[in-house]
Formats: sequence, C-alpha cells, structure tokens
Amino acid sequence: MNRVREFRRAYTDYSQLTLAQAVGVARQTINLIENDKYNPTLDLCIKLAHALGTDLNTLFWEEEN
Amino acid sequence: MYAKIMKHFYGITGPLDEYKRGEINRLGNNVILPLFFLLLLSTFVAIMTAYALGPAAAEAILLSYGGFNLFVLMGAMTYLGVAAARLHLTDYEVTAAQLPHARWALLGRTLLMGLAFTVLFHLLSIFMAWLDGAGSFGQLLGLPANLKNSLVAGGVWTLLMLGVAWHRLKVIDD
Repeated sequence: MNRVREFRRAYTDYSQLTLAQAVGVARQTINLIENDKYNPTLDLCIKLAHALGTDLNTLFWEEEN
Repeated sequence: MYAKIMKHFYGITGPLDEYKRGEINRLGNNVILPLFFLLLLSTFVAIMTAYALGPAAAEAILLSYGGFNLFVLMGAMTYLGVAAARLHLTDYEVTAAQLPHARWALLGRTLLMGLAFTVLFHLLSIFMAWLDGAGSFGQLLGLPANLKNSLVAGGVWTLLMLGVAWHRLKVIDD
C-alpha cells in the first residue's frame, strides 16, 4: 500500500482534485493510485513526490516485515 | 490534436492522462482484432459470393456487405461506449460550485450537437429520397413532411444525448 493518501491528508491541504490538478492528471487517477488499483509511471510518481514534499522511497517503498 | 480526437471519440472529459491513455489503448486493441478479422471475412465472403452468383446478385451482395459491416461497427462502438463508461472514463466531474455553470454548458453543447445532427439527418434523408427519384433535391428539402421527420429524429436524439450527458455529470467534493 502506497502512502499517497496518508501524505496528502497529513502534510498538505490538497484534496484529490487539487492534487490531480497540481500533477496534471484526472481526479480518478489519484483515487485509483491511493487505492492501489493503478500503478503510476515513474514520471507521475516523481511528480506526486514533489507535490507532496517527499521522496519516492517514503511514498512508494514497502518495507517487508 | 491526437489527444483532442481521442477525447472526443471516447467521450472523455478532463485531462487525457496516462491512466486514461492506457485504458483507451487497451479498449482500442480489444476492438481492432475482432474488427479486422470480421472485415476480412466479410470481404472474402462478399467477393466469393459475387464471383459465384454473378452481376445479377450485385445489389443484394453490396447491401448485405455494407449492412453487415455497419452492424459490426455499431457493435464495436457500443462495446467501446459501455466499457469507457464502466471504467468511469466518461465521467464529467465538477465541484458543487461549478455545477450550475456545468449544467448550462452541457445543455448548450448538447443542443448544438442536436442541431448539427438534425441538419445532417435532414440532408441525408433528402439525399436518399432524391436517389430514389422522389423529386428534385430543392423541392424535397422544404417539404413539410420531411422537415417534420427530421425535427422529430433530431429531437429524440438530442433528448437521448442530454440524458447520457446528464448521467455522466458527477458532483465531487472540492
């Protein structure tokens, strides 16, 4: 599970819509990413990380327990 | 230009982003393979039938060939429309504040499309009647019965499209 929703809610004022506008995609795409129903391209991952003020590892890396 | 054509063809609103691009490419590929083989098959059957039956059956073969391909094309378009709607590619998302403006814009756009459809339908039906030898083109163009038919067809189509467009309008939280 990625941490896009967690970061969006905890550290930014972005709604799904405003985040989508900030990275140039549709709101549905953000919704699908947050629900792990769509794997974004690296390009979009980087845009999301920039918009959410974090890095790719923090946002998408899954630690194995 | 490509994005504009794709968005219009699939009825997509909002940005044509990587997800939507990927989905329409997948849907397009799902359609093109059966369409290709059916077109190949129907052409082969039409040529073989024409060869076997000769010129006497030319009209029947041409009409069957055209009718079959049109039917297949309609099937493909229906699949694309339903699949795009099920994937929410055609959803027109607006915030509550944008809703009144979006409704008016939708109404205006649909009425314009309806007008274009009515004019095209009228011209096409007049052309078909003219080919049948029902009279001169100019005379048929202004015939009240023809005008009434086109207006009814255009009205029904516009209402149908308005219903579809209204159904696609989704209000989301800002």
